[in-house]
Amino acid sequence: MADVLMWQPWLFPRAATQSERGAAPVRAEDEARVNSAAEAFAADDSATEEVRWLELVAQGDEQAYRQLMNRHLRGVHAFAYRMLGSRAEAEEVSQECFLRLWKHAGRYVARAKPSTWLYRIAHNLAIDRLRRRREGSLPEGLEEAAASERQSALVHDRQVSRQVERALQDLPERQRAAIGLVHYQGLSNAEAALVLGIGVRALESLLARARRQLREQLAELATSDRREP
Amino acid sequence: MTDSNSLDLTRFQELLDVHGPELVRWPEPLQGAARALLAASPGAREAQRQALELAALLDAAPEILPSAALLSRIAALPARQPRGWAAWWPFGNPVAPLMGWAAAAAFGLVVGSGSIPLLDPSAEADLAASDADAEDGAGLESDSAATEAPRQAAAEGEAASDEDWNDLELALGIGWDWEEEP
Repeated sequence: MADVLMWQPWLFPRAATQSERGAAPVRAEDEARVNSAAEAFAADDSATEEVRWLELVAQGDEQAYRQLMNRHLRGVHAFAYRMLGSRAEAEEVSQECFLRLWKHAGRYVARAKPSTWLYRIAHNLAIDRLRRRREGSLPEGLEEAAASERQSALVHDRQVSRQVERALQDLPERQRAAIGLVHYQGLSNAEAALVLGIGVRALESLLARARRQLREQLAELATSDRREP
Repeated sequence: MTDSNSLDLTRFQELLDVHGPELVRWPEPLQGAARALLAASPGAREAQRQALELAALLDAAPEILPSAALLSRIAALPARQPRGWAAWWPFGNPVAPLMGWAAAAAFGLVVGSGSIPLLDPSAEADLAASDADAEDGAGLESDSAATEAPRQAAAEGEAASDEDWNDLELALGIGWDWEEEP
């Protein structure tokens, strides 16, 4: 299992330490589920195609690079924004992420989907920025007003959108990453665990705690929403 | 893995928090037990309803799309960040200047091989001077008739050779100034 998580650490700003992971030790159940995720990856035609694109990018093929960009930029950018709460920083992380894709595609090891690899790069870049924020070298970055422009007025109004965004930003960063990957980007629990470099059960613990906190924070919204016709 | 018989309301709520309200995203072994519980328990249905409500609220978070400027910046990264030889050679493809240099060198070799003495003005002047000396020498008059024929033949051959070379010079645009001198 640990071998599955070997992600060539020089590619990333800083790998999460075991204490930061706060994760339960890896179990046989985790291993089985990660292996099943690997099998699903092997059977996934689009992932196989992306692996081929990555090989071409490693040879300097700009067309393959653009194919990967067209498929994953939106998701990587949305995930970076979800992590950082700042449009400008999300753009910087996205750009750095694809720069690394261009420069280091040859280092990709086909043990997981290329998208998982990209999300892991984005996650590590975002974590690095959050750490620098805590150390005071980067400003806080919750942007609410501009981000709510594309909110669908058919479902919820702008105020609801802002409150949800704030509730997400209030989550601890690893819980926020877990929700961002699973709920917003649609990754499976096993894939999200790979991205975060933790076991599947640890990931599920993060998800459960995140959903509980969100439910508590948004309970009032849910109640008022229910009262509305 | 939870056994299907042990899936009570508390465990169901935990699984909702872990896997979300959509049962299709749950591990397959748990889906049957969850459906059975939902069919039998109003509490389970209420828990799922709340989980769906939370998921809908989360979907209300703003959708963030990359800007057109970001798209173009990232699309231009390969051009701005060349790899391999292009990363340290800022003058484009190095084959082109190398080919140019090689062609110029080859041309120089072709032009320079064997033809240089005919183009040398000092050699021509030396030849004229030696002709003048020969005409001035008194003791050589008797020999002049004997030597005239081969010299004339050599001069004709030289003139023909010069004529050929002049055509080449004209074609290539070299040596023109020297030919114009009186």
